[in-house]
Order: sequence, then structure tokens, then C-alpha cells
Amino acid sequence: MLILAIGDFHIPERAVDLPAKFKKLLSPTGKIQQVLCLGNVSQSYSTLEFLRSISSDLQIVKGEFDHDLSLPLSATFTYDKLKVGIVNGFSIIPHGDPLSLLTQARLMDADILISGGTHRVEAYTLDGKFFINPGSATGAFSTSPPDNEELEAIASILAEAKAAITEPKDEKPKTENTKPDDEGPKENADVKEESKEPESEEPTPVNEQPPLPEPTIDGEKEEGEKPLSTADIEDYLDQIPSFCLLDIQGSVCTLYLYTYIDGDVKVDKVTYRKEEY
Amino acid sequence: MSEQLENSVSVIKQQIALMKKCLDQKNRLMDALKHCSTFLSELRTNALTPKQYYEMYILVFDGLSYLSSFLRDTHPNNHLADLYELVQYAGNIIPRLYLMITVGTVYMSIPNSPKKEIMKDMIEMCRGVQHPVRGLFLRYYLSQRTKDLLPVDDESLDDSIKFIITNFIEMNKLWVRLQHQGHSSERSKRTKERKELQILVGSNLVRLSQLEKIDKNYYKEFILPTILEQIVQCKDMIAQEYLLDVITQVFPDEFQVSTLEEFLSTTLALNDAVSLKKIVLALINRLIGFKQRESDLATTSNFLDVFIKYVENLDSLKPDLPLDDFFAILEGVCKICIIYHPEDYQNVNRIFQHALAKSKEHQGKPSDLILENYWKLLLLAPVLNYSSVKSILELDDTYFDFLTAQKPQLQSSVSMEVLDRLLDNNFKIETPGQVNKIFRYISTLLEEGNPTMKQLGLDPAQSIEVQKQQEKLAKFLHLLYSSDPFAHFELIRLSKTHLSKNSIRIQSTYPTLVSILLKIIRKLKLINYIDLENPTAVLQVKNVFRFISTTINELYQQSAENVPQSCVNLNLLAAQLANEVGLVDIAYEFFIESFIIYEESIVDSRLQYQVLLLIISKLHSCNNLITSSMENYDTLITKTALYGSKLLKKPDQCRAVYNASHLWWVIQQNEEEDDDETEEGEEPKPAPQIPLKKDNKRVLECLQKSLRIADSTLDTSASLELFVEILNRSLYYFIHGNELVTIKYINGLIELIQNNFNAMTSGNENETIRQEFNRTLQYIKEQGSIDERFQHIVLV
Amino acid sequence: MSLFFKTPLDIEVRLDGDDSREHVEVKNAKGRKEKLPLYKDGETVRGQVTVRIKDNKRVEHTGVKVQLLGSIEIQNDGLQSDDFLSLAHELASPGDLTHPETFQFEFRNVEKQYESYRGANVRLRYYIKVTVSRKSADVIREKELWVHQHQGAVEESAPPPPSSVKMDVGIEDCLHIEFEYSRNRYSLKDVIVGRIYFLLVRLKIKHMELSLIRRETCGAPPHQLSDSEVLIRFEIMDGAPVRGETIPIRLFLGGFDLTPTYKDVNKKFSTRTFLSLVLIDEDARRYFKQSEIILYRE
Repeated sequence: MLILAIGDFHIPERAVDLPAKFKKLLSPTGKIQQVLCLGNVSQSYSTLEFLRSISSDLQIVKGEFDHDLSLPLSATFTYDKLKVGIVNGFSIIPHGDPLSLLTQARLMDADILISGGTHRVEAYTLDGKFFINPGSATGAFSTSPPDNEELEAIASILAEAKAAITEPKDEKPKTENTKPDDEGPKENADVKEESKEPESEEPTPVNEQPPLPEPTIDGEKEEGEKPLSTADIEDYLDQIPSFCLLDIQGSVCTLYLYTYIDGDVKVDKVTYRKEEY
Repeated sequence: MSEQLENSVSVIKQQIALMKKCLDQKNRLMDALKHCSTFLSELRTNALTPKQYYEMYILVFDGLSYLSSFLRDTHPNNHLADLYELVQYAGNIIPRLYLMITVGTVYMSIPNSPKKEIMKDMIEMCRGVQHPVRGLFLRYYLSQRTKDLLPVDDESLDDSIKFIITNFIEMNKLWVRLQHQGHSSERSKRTKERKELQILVGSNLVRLSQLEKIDKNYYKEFILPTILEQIVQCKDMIAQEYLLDVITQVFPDEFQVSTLEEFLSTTLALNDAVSLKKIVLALINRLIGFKQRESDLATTSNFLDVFIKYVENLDSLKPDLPLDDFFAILEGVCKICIIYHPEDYQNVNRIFQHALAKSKEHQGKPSDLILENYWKLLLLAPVLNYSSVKSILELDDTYFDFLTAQKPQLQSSVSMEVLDRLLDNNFKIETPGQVNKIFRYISTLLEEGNPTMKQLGLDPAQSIEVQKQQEKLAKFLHLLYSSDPFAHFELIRLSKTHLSKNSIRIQSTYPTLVSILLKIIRKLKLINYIDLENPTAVLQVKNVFRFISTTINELYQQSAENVPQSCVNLNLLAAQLANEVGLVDIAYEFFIESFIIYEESIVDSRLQYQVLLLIISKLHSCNNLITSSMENYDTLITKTALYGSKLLKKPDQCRAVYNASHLWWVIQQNEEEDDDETEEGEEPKPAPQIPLKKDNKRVLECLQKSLRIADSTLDTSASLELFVEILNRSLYYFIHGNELVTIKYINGLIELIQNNFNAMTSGNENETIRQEFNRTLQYIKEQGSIDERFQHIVLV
Repeated sequence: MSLFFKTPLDIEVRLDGDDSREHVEVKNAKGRKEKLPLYKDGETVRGQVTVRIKDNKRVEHTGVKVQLLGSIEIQNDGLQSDDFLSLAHELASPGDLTHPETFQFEFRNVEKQYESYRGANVRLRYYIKVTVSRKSADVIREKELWVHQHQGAVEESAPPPPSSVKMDVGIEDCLHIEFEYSRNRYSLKDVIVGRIYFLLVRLKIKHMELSLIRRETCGAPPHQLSDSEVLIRFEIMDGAPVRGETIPIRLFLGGFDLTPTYKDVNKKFSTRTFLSLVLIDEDARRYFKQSEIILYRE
């Protein structure tokens, strides 16, 4: 039995659509028997149509942005020897808290609890239960603050961009942060000859975007009228689009986590086996 | 198979066999020819349909091929010149001519034969067959047999070309004549038969196009004019439509380009019943294909001028041309102009000028869906065909004049296509000018709903069509973009002024605007622009928040059903972002806004409960608000707990209150030191925790309060279920170390639940709750192995 | 009649060079084909006659002669035969035949004025006749020759041939055609070339044929006897043409058994050939136009 778990679309408010590659993967083949949708979908007519095209058995739990009050907040389904519960996640307090989720699963008597709301795809077992968050199918922007990992990633991108800008005027060229680019030294040689030129005229070998403002961490104020730009971090603002497929046989659930990273679909596989007493 | 055909087929097969037998023996050529003549006589029949005749022809062709290769192999034993004369004694013309062609073509194939004379003779003698079907097949035979034999040296090429053209002309005449045979009641049958036969006629043009060495100029000066003359003269609709199409398909692209004027002017001389549309569009599609095959193809603009002049002259030269067809052609011309010279916007503007003028002819006439569809297609031509979406933004007023002259529904569908195109290309709209231009394209989507729907008493905002439109419009807003966040903000601000023109519709677009603005704030935060020490930056960011607030408030003024929920949600999101960037006062304000809406406008009790959960969840995540504005935070959470206790339904009250307990127990998970990433499938290790708010007492109070509410619930099952949930919630705090949630407290709860169970008569529902309870006890038991405190809990 | 009696002797006529001479195949009265030696006008007819007795019985005769005869036989209420040529040689004086005897004969440079001809009612034949005269019944043996008269391309009496013959043919408001062919005189090995041009077509034509008809006339009025025979039927068009259509004509004559035109053969008979154009409509009605063509042997 193949089950699709998908949710947190936020179309059109936060996203235009699912990645085309997802849509292609999910084009109707009849293989998927049931769609479990974790909500935040009902404002988009086109998305509902899309979900219905995957399987006529579409089950939706209500997300905080869904207006349809007839949708349940949670639901359970039994497949073979496994009981699966679904819940959007906004009703889990604290938000995404594993212990709260465990409580929820216990109350629902679910072996597998699928929840959404965080826009972060994950799967883990806790106390013999399997917890799945299929993330956001569209990779919709999340208003929850970025986690540390995300912040670190962005900080390193900004640092790289800054290095690219500041490098030419650096008297001691840093090499560890730049790519081993053949053009690097050559550019430097050119720069030395024209070192009297104003900084803003300098060609930037790595980044063609307008220079970013200097981060103000060190207290220095950025002078000049350089325009702000968010171009470098644009790709990191939204979450990673993702969904999950559950293949349930007996008391075993094989979970396929689909993520869309840098234009490609990546699939991870996790197997959960219910402990039987 | 008809009996007639069956008979003929069996005669032919038998005679072919006999012929072969004779050919395999010495000196029996004459007998072989007699058998040949016998099976050829079957082709004299009148009784078959063209399709059946073709079946027979195929067999005969094979038979004659055998003879043909025999003659070729035995040359010069058989003096072909004599044989050519000999076969002409056949008394019946059909067998005679088939034999003549068979022998004649073998004769042609040998070196130094008088090819030219043979060709001339064969084609001349074929005139004797005036019966359309038999004549067509005979001449098709001539064409097939001569296929690889026509000389193409400099001296003879001309003869070969003329040979094919003559055959083409004669075949066309026969084909056209077929239409006029028989009773007029069989007209449609004739038409069908003619279509079945058309390929025989067209094959001549194919053959012509396959001749090597044909010079473009010769084609332009002689070949095409001769063919076109015949096509015009035959006055036959089927022939004209078909043959012009064949010309368009078979001759090389370059030829088509160089003879555009000749071809187009011919179309003006055709039978009135001929669909000019089909012909011209086929040509246009061919040329478009050419351009697509050879993208670096250079043509002069003059080439498009021919097309534009053509449509401009259609009025006077073809006054009876249906408007449908006129607009279809115009669309084609528009398409080709765009594909060949996309930068030449003047061409397209001229076309729309003409379209507007022409469409006025239809004014005052009843609505014509087909015609309107052509108008739509014309309007879509630029939208769909510019390879760069940006070009769409270059059209001038003539386009918009024609667009706004259309019915709203038609305009909407054009608007939708524009949006689709932009979205499919992920085309970023980066300047205010572009924003304004696009809003001209989609202005109908912002207008009041479809009047007919209003008349029918339907809420136009609720129709599926409108929902889809508005969804797309909202998606489009994501295309407005600038890498400069404040420039981006300005684009959004500008789009809002456009969107605000129809207040009914804003409920589907404003939430998107708010989401985009929140994202801009996140970006400013991530590039470290938001520095609370920098008053300029703070002011700028506050401006954005102010604008968000205004937007939400404007939306809130709409009295549509779901607007309050949206507004609460949006305010909460804004609060969350304001907290994240450290603007805690603003966060507070947004919470207050959402509380006001909650109080004023959230009336459904189910929704009230859900909104409260969301509020709890959001407040719980507001770390900065807690740390730097505890007083405000306390105001908000107290209010929230109060809201919870005022919910209509007891279970909702109970759950809201025990969930609200978390507002006094906010522990920040500090991930930074958690280098060892939790592997999937493994139990997460406890992370270092920083308590932001840890008020054991208030937590307990909440639990106690919820317990009281549960206890006061009349429905004992519901009450029991809530007890179990509270027990679980208490375990949460027990695990997290709330000192007031003691073993004693938990034991008390368990006892309470147990007593309640004992007091009840068992029922099915109770069984479910019993199991919930048992699972909880089981959990406690298992936890004992990890946390020894659990061992002190008394399990009943 | 002699066939019913057993003749006492055999007569064999052999012509010199018979093996190498060209023969003509003609049909005899019973429709069987026979091969006859071909002679020209003015050619010498030479050969041997061998007479053999049977059963070694002596045969008495009153003379042996050989004749070369040319006769016209007309079947018109009985056979009427006229010799226009009669040459004779005495081969032997009256006497007895006791053993086979061979006699040479020769008719030098015989003028053979007419062509051999076998028609419906008329036969023109040349033959060698050997007669062994006897008191009782003569023993006669005949051997037929075939004679071709070769004429020059131009007959002095005929006007010079026109470059083409053109005829306007029609039925008012129904059909109007132009029938054109190369000339009106053709040698027997010629080819008739021409065309039909349709000026008006309101008939539903199905086919068009060309036929050659030989008309043989004999006797004098009022007892004139005529016979027409269609020698060739040749389809030249299939289907219905429209106005303005031109249909080509090409008919090779060489392969057919045709007779040259003889306007007056010894005041006894004539043979003429007509070219006939026949149009057949959908109701099988036939419309035709005939015109005479002069045939000659080159």
C-alpha cells in the first residue's frame, strides 16, 4: 500500500507551485492509493485539483490557514498492522515539540504520526513510534525563525560574498575562502596596477551582483550609497520542498523522503518496523 | 472485399502467374504480353470504388514491375523500340498505355535512348484516357515508372520539369472532373472519393520538389506560376485547398520565402468557397517552422511587410471573407511577425490597429462565440509567441485598445494567459513601469465580478472561475522582485494600489502581499541590515511593518466570511517576524491586533478554539518578546488563558487551558552545542536548555483549572477523556522537571481517573478511553527504565 | 468432281526457288491458313511439272499443257469467273505416259496487272494449271500463286496528298468535334496519326474507337453486290472528354491484313477502305463518321 503524505502548500500566499519535478513524479499513475494531506492547502483550488488527480482517496486535516471548518484536526487510518495518525501541527503545543508529538501519538494510538506545520522534513522514531514530517511540498517560506543550521549556512554565504568583494583591496590576499580559480592571481595583478581606481569600479571575479553592504556586526557603519541586495541569499529563504511516500506492508513502513535541492530531486529511504509484543 | 474486386484480383493474380511462366521460357514474350494485356484489362472496370481500384492497381503494378525488370534484363534481345511499337497494337487503350509506359520506361533506362521523345510520346498518348479514376491511376503509373529516369542534366532538366508539370495539370483536370460525374445526389460521396485520390495528384508536386538542381529563380519564374495558374483555373475548391497546401509543404523553405508574393496573390483569386484561412495559415506555419529550424535565419523586414499588406488589402480584395477567417489569418500574421522580427513592435501594433478597425464591423451584431474566440487567439498571439516575455511589455496602446474592446470574460482569459506565461517563465518584474504595464493586461481581473453572475444571484467571488483567477493573480505577485529589498517593497506597494481598486477581490491577494512583505523583512534580517542601534534601518523596517498593518486592516474592512481568520493569522505571522527581528513592541501590537479581531469577529466556537491554539503557539515562540518585554508578554498570555477559559464548549475550554500552561513554561532548545546531529530513526538526545520563562506555579494552576473544567463536564466520557489528556500533559511537565508536578500529583490523577472508570458502566466509548489510559500507564511503566522517578508512580 | 474419281496419274507442280521465296499466309474459304508463294508484277514464273503414272499403268493422253491464269471469281447467284490473263505452253504432244516425266516451263516476264485478293464475294487469283488431256476425263492440277502489286508512293492519277485531312463533325447542340489526321493516303505499312479535338461535348461519351472498314463492291448496278468488313477496331479514348480536350490518334497499319485500294479491277470489282471514328455514349448509342483513306502497297 502506497500512501502519499504531503502538506503545507501555502499556495498562493507563499509559493507559486510545487517544483515541476515533483509534479511530474506525482503525475497520476494510480499507484498511490491514498493521499494524506496535512493541511494549509484549501485556499488553492488548483492544488486541491492536483491532489485529487493523484488519488481519489484524499484525506485532509485542517491547517491554520484552511478555512474549511468541516475538516478534522486529526485523523487515523489503519493499514495492515499499522495505525497512522495525521495532524497538521499547529495544534501541537509547543510547536513541533517531540514530547508533545509523542503524547499526541499515544492518545491517538498511532504507530506512525505524520505531522506538518514546521516546513521541515524529518523522520525519527521515539518510544517505538515513528514520527514523520513531510515538510512543505512547495518549500513555502516559514515564519518560524530559521534554525541554527540555516543561519550558519546563510552566514557562510554572506561571508563568501563579502570575501569576494573585499578581496581585491586586501593587501594580503586570503586564499582559503576563495575558489582555486586560475583567474584569481591575474585579477590581483591587474588590481595592483590600477589600485588608484575607486573601489566601486572594481570588477568582482566571483560575484557579478552589486556589492552587498558591509555587515554591521563589527559596529562599523557602511558608508556610501551602495544599494542593498538580497540576491545571494535568495535561494536560502524558502524551505526545502519535500513530501513523503509511505509503503506499508504488514508491520513495516518503508518511508521515502523526497526533497528538492538545487533543482534535483533527492530520495532518502527510512524503514520503520513496529515492535510487536 | 466486394465480389467484383475479388474476381478481378483473382484474374490478375492468375494472369500474372501465367505471364511470369511465359517470361521464364524462351521465345514466349508474345504470350507473356497477352497475359499482361489480360490482367491489364481488369483495370478497365467501372464497378469499383477508388479504394478498391487502388488495391487492384497495386497488384497490377507489381506484375508490370516483373515484366519491366525482365525486359531490362533481356535487353537487347528484345528490341525495345520495336516492342514499344508492338504493344501499341493492343485494341484497348488502358492495356495499351500501361504496356507502352512499361516498355517505354525500360527503353528510357538504357543508354542513348531517345528519352526526350519517349517522355513526350507517353505523356501525349495518355490523353486518350479521359475517365477520371482510370486516367488518374494511369498517369500515376506514368509518374511512378518515370520516377528515377527523368534526366536532370542541364539540357534535359527543363523537359523533365515540364513533363511532370504536364502530368500534374492533366491529373488535376481529371481529378476536378470527377466531382462533376454522376448524379448530384452523390455529391458527398464524390467529395469523399476525391479526397481519397488527392494524393495521386499531389504526388506530382512531391516529385517535382524531389528533382535535384531546381533553381530557386526558375521555380519563382516558371514552375510555381505554371502550377498556380492551373490551380486558379480549375476553380475547384478541394483542389485549390489541397494543392496549395501541398505546395506549402513540399517545396523548400527558401522557395517559400522567395515566392511569398506570388503565393499570396494567388490566394486572392481562388474559389470563394476555399478557406483562405487554411491556406495562409499553413504557409505561415511552414515559415514559422523554418525560422524555428534555422534560428539564425536572416530575412528582411520587407518579408513581413508582404504579409501585413496582404491582410490590409484583404478587405478590398476579398470583401466576402468571413470575419472569423480574417481574424484567424490576422493571428497567423501576428505570430509570424513576432517570431521573425520580435523587436519590430511596429508590425504588431499595425496588426492590432487593423484588428480594432475590423472588429468594429461586428458592432451591434449578436454575440458570436467563434469570432470572439478568434479575437482571443489574436490577443494571445503576442502573449504566447514572444520568446522573451519581456517583449509583451513593449506593446503599445493599439493592443490595449483592442483588448479593452472585448467582453470582460474574454479579457479575463487573456489576462490569465498573460499570467500563465509570466509564471511559466518565472519572469521577474523588476520596475514600476513593468508593474503598471502588466496591470493593464490584467485589469479585468480586478474589476467587479461578472455581471451575469450577479444577476443569477451568485456570489462572484465564490465561483470556481473567479477563485482560479484570483489564485493566479496572487501567484503572479511573487514575480514582482528586486534584489534590493526596499525596491522590492516599493513594487509591492505599487501593486497594492492596483489591487485595491476592487476591494471585493483583495481577500485573495492581500494575504499574499503580506507574506511577501514578511519575507522581505526576513531577508533584511538575514543580511544583517536590521540593527536596532541604527535608527534609519529601524525606521525603514517599521515602515514596512506599518504598511503590513495597513494592508491587514484594509483587508479586515471586508466583511467576507473568512476574512477575520485570515487577518488574525496574518497579524500573528507579522508578530512572529517582528519578534524575530527584535522589534518587540511591534510584535506586541500585532498580537493586540489579532486579539481585537478575535474578540470582534471570530464567532464560530470551533474556530475560536483553533485560533487560540495558534495564538498560544505563536506566543510561545516569541523569545525576544519574552526576554525583553516580559510585562507585555504577561499581558498577552494572561489574556490568552482567559480567552481559553471563556470558550463555549467545556472540552475546548479545558484543552485551551492546559495548552496555555505552556505559555508559562518556555524553554529554548539551545542547539548550538549539540554538535552530534541526531540521526534519523534514533531517539533525540536531550539538548541543553535555556529557560526563558519557567513559572511552575502558573503551570500547575493551568493544569488544575483544566482539571476543574474537565470535572465539571457533564458528559462523563468526555470528562474522562480530558482527564487522561491532562494526565499526559502533567507527565510532560513531570519529565521537564516542573517541581510542582509531583509524583503525588500524578498518582492523584491516576487514582481519580481510575475511580471515574469504576463509577461508570462500561460502554464502547469508554473502552477507547480506557485504552488511552492504559497506554498512558504503559508509557509510565516503560519510562521507569529510563527515569527512575517514574518508578514511584503507582500504577493501578 | 475429279476428287470422286481415282485419277490414273499424279501431277506435281514445282516452282523454281520455292524454298527461298517469300510466302504469304492467307486464309482459304474454309478459314484455314495456307502459305502461297509471292510474285511481283512482271516476274517470270518458272518451274517443273512432273507427271507420274499410278500402278504402272500406261496412260494415253491427247497432250499435256501448262497455263498461267489470272481470274476474277465473283460469287453472285452462282460463281462467275473471268480470266483476265491466260498464258499457255504445250508440254507434250499426244502420246502415252509409261513412266514419270518432268517438264520444264517458264512464263517470262508475265504482266500481273492486279493483286491477288480474297474477299467476301470476290476472289482474284493467279494459278498454274496443268492439264493432261484425255479422251475421257482430263487430269488437271492447279497451283495458286499470290501476287502483290507494288505502287509508288504517288499514283499519277491521284492529286498530291494534302498535308492533313481535317473534318468538322457534329450533331447540332450535342457534339462538335474536329477530326484530323495526317493524310488520306497510306501505305499498308504506314501509321495513321491524328487527333480529335472536342469543341462541344454534351453527350455522355464512354469510349471512342477508330475502325478500318473494307468495302468490296462487285457487279454493275442494279446487280451490284457490296460487302463491308470491319478489319480493325481500335479504342482511342476511354471516358468522357470535356470541351477543349485533344485526343491523339496513332494507329499502326503494318500489323494488320489490309488490302490496297482498288477502285476498279478489270471493271469487275473494287476494294476501298474507310476510316471510321465511332463514339459510344453511356446508353451504348454509336455515333460515327467515316471517310475513305487510300491504301497502297509500297
